[in-house]
Amino acid sequence: VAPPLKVDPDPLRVDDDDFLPVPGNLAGRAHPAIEPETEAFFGGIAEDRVVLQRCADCGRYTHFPVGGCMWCGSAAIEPTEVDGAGTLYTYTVSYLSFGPGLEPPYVVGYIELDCQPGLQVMTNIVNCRISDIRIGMPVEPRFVHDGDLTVVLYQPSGEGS
Amino acid sequence: MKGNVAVTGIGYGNIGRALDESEGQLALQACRVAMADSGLDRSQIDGLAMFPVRSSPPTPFQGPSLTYVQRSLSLPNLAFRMGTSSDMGQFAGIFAAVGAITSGLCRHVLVYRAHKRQTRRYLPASSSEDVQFDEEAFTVPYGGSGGTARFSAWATRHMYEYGTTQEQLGAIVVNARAYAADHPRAYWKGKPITLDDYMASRWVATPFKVLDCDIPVDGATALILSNADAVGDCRTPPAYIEAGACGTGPDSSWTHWLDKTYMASKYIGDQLWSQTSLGPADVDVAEVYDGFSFMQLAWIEDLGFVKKGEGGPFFESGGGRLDSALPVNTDGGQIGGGRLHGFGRLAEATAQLRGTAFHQVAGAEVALAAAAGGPLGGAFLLTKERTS
Repeated sequence: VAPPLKVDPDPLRVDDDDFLPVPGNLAGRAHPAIEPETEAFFGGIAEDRVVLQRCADCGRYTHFPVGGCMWCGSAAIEPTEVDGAGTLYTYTVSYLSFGPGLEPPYVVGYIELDCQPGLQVMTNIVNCRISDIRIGMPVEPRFVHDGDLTVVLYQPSGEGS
Repeated sequence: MKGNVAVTGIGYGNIGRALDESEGQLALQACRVAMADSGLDRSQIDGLAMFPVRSSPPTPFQGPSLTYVQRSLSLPNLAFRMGTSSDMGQFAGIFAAVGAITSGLCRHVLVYRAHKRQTRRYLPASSSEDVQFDEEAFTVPYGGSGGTARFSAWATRHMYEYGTTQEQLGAIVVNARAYAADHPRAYWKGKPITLDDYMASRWVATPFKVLDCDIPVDGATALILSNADAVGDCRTPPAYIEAGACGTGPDSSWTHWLDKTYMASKYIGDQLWSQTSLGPADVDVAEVYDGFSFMQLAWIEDLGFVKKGEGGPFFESGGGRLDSALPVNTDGGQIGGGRLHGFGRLAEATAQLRGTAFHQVAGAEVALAAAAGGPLGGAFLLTKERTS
């Protein structure tokens, strides 16, 4: 569960009205290696599904996927589909490019997934203005495909497609 | 530890941008100074370690090889060699040297860090042809490679939970540049800034402005670590390693780190203080990693020098300055002096205990040196007198 709000988040608003579009293509972006540990996740997002590594013993998720449960060490892990929704834990507006194929400004966000308190994924926030981004706002996945590459971006919940 | 190993030699190579020397030549400059500093003869160096490890094929982030340095310095008696990655927050080679010494393998270990600044902004990928592995497979496609894009959002979260302000980050930067302004070794010598300069500087990735980021330089630092029972071989006053820690808690990933208002330094602090009867209040000077201004703040909080959330007010009210209760990064750190990774911090902490630092803390007897940040790190507590 996210800690209680201790200060007004408005001072954190980034004063930039640029709109963050859903990218039409993924030209130039790096490709992930598909390995035995990660093929369920990457195969899932290719089909617009979020599939995480879940522990059959303690029930908790580990992301990014590895070879066992990061919470209890169990080897009994299995791919499990979740709805992927979450809230924005924190973010940065990057005015330089820190990855191939990314045009600044872009937003790197850490999403806390609803399926497990504290469980975080890194993504880009899209389909809103930079100045509208708030820590704690509900977000939902937005899958973008280009050839053999899929990325799972996040947009404010209810923005649709 | 408990003082059974000491830092007995420190040396720097030239520091600058676009220097003519190779990384290897910079490393040798630093190593030769450190050896001359200690007074040790090349035959007395029986261990060699380095950071960042050189690989084949070359990567953008690596230093000169052990073989290059061993041959260039003509070191005939090595019993221990180790190249290290960023584990233990750049201090893996130092920890390894401590282990080699305390196991009896070595008496005097030379450890160097040499690097020329990279011409590209981030490490993992140069083009979409690059395939990313491990955590990078989940970050580089989102423009989250390299420290800046991964870590800046941690500072945003600290601002959200504790009300830390841009001006408070700016106070850290202004202080670093003030230390550097008259320091003969500092990259930003003669270039102090005001808070207004800071606030007017351009964004890199919010809340980091370009001046929140350390300045990448070409440079090298070398250290000699000795068995405390062998410090009589050296002509320098030893700085004893009282404690050392490098724990990361339950995770060591940038992405999934649970509470991004803390760094690994939280766990490092717990481990460090459990090893010694000394505590944060006993520390006379702190030399902590400042790849970004916020890393300096997080180290000071996480090691218990101030309460959680009070790092911003600490620096804003003059904490960290030479005339304060806890001077921090007295050579300007990496923000003012130039990026030498944790080796620069450990060398400056040693100089403070010798009483030879350019901005000397009067009577310094206990110093802290810390490296790296985010989900990785390492720290050593040094004392002027051996405690046991």
